[in-house]
Amino acid sequence: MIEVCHLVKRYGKFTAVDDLSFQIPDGCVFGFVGPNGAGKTTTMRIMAGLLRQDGGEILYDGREMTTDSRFLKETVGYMPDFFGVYDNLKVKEYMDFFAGTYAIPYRDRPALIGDLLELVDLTQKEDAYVDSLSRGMKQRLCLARSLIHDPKLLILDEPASGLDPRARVEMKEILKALGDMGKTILISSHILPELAEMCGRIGIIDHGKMVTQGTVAEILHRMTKKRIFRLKVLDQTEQAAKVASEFSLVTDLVEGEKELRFGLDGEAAAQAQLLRAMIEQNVPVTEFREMEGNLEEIFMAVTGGEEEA
Amino acid sequence: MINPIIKREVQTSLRTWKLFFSIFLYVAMLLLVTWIFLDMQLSQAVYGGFSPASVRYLYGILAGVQMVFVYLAVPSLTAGSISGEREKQTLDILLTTKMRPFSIVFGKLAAGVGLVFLMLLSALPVYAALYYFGGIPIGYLLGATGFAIVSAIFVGAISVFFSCLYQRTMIAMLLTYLFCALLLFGTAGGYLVYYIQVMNQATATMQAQPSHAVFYVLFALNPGAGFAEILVRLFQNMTLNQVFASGLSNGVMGNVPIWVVNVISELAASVGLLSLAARRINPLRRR
Repeated sequence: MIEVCHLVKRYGKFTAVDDLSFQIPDGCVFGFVGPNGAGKTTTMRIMAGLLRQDGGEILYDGREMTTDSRFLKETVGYMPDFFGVYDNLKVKEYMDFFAGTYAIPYRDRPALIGDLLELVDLTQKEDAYVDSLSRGMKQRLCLARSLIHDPKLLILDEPASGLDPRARVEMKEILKALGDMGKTILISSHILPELAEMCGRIGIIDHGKMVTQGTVAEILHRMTKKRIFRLKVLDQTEQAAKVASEFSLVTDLVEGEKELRFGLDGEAAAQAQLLRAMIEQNVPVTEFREMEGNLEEIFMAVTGGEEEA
Repeated sequence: MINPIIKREVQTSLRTWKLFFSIFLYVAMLLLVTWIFLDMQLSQAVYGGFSPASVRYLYGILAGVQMVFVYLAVPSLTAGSISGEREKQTLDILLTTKMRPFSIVFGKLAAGVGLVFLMLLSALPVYAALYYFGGIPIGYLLGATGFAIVSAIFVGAISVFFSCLYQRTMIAMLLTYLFCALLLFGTAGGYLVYYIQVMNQATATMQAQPSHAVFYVLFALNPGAGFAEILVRLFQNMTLNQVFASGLSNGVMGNVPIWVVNVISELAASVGLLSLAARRINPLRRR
């Protein structure tokens, strides 16, 4: 169990991380969500031993990590949001170099490197020069690199940023596989729906503070106060809006192009009643359904809409 | 287990033509100097006979070229050691590994100096030619290379230190050149001023003598002094201190050759600079 307790980091008068606390159970994939400057990267850099915190502690199974750099480095595998690669080095040489930095015996390296390259689907590229790889391949290679010492905790800062859709899917599949392997993973991303699919727990951070955390279901339940509906029409949007606005249980009505979005305070009977009213007023309804709450909406709500670019 | 940084740097350096071309140019330059010098000497031998003693001058020239080469090449090979990692955004990843910051800076220094070491070794056959003509004891031939290697370590440590201190490789390199110029010429200029002052005083009072302490303090980290002494010993069989301090040998340090002081103090300073550099890149250091 990773416990981040009352973490504080200041840069002069600016407080980047402000009394931040959260826990990650063993084997859990924890999604770390927040807008730019929220303190995600600062928190991750502290956890990776790249920054010294001004207050608080980070415990792994009750043992303070930040004061024991050897233990921290053995425990954590870190993949930064931006990173470079070495020129004139082949993929397997790159992996061998990092195996050396963790003092992994020479005899164990070929098998280990082979397994990791297979995991990230780079076996075919083991003799390619690292700087010739695509962005997505470099991200996967960096992920394999961060696993070279079999860390208990993986810290991945925006692993899918800058990737094309195909590369994102590949990265997501690898992360799912790692989650299935029982790795404890802290992952930040602004691709919220993807995080929702992948993460057992989510923490939303803003202005250095944890706004909310829990399982995806818990957060959805906590944050979604009312049921949201979408009604699509063939035409007569104005007539549909008029009918909806006259319905007493409808709230927060938003009129779009050939569609309405609104909250409905009633149960299934109210739903049926509203639909009947629409039909009776000859509104050509093509779709009427409850929208599933998603992290994107929650994120926008709790952070005031400052989504990351 | 080999320091992985040394292994990687050597691996990538040997992969390009630059290193081989640099070695070729360096050895070719030394051979050219040797050839011109010997050609001039042998043409004069028709009239006066070839003097093996004249080879000493060639030795002085070659050793001088070697020292200049060290001072020019080492900063260019090591100034980007840490700043280059920062520029390439690879330093953070390196710092999260189990490598200690000292191992990282040591690996960088060893890799850079190692390449210079390789070039100096490549030049040994040229020195062997001097030995063939006679006039130079083998100790001097190896000594000049050994002294150049120690100087390379020292200059490299300065360069790695500045590389840790500054984000930009170019700034680190310029500061290394400036710092080395200060060590070479600044201390020599300082001692010259002091020496003239003492000599003027001596003329007036008939008592004043240059202090050994000032000599050693100023020249302890000036590799030019040690190099000059090697040449002085070859030609005059004297230490540099004896030349400057009028042959005085009083005091504890009086007879200690400055090249010995240079070697010890430069190696000690190199360890100190590397420790400071390691502290500088350690993200968890207490400020």
